[in-house]
Amino acid sequence: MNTTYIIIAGVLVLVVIIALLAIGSARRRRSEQLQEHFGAEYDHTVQTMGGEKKAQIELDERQKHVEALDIRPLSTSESERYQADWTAVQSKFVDEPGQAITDADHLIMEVMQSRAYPVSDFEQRSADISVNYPTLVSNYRAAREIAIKNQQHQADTEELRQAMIYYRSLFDELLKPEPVVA
Amino acid sequence: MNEQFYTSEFVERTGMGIDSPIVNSDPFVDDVPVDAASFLETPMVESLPVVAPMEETINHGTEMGEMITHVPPIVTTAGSPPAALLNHEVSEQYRTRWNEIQGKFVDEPRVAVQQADALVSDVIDQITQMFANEHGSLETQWNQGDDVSTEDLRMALQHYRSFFNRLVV
Repeated sequence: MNTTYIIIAGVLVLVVIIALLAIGSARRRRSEQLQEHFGAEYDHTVQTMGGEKKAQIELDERQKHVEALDIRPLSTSESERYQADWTAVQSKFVDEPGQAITDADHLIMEVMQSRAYPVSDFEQRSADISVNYPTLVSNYRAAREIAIKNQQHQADTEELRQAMIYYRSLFDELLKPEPVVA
Repeated sequence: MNEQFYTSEFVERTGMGIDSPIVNSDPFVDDVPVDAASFLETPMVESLPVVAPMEETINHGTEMGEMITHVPPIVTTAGSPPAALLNHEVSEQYRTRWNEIQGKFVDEPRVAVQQADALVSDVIDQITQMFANEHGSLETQWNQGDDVSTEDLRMALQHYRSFFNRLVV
């Protein structure tokens, strides 16, 4: 009788231990997946969220949010039209660098909307971008910072030119049918 | 000596249409912004020879009369009264090159500026060449001692004015 209890208790303990191990390894795997997928953005999120656990929850939510969206690729004609728009914006830089930056930002928003990304503030946009374009979201943020600096008339022409290149790195990818990282 | 002018006038008449008051009154006048503007609104413009005569002068460059009278301002610069020095096709080529250069600035600012420098040099060279080509034939029309009639000198001056007007728009 006593031995039966001991055996049952032992089995239960074992099950709990195994379950905990399984959860632990699943969490580790998930953590590795997130790290692998988001790369530098993972570290960035850990920094801004102030902890690995919070960052993982955040990134997890971002992924779920984007998965729930019905992101569609651009048609060839749309893509060509946007490419032409970009060429015009880039050409405009020579005369109005600041305005060209603003236009580039708007053009990216326009493309995102065409692809069925939700209309939202910059934080949400960059969060969505980080899921499908984890390597480019830092460029998007860097361009944004320069654009803000420019609004305060504190960005020099070289910085604005950089912003243009940052924006384009994302823009080019947004025009492609599939994101770099699925 | 005047053959060139007559030929030019003939081609100009046929080219622009004999019912053109401008052509009949003065075939060599090419700086007529007011008339040019009204010209643009007439269907006749469409039938004007656009590129060929000008191109010939660029390539061979011997016929000043051709060169000047064959490029009415109305044709080469649709929408803007002053005459264009380069013909439409050549202008378009230069413009395409310019647009490429300007588009390149964001990626390669220094290269873009270098290429802009080269492009402007090319255009100036081309204009210089045009003038050099015509200068020779034009000079023979007036620089022959006292053997030149006042009428020829008058014509020569008109040709110079035509070139001048297109340089100094």
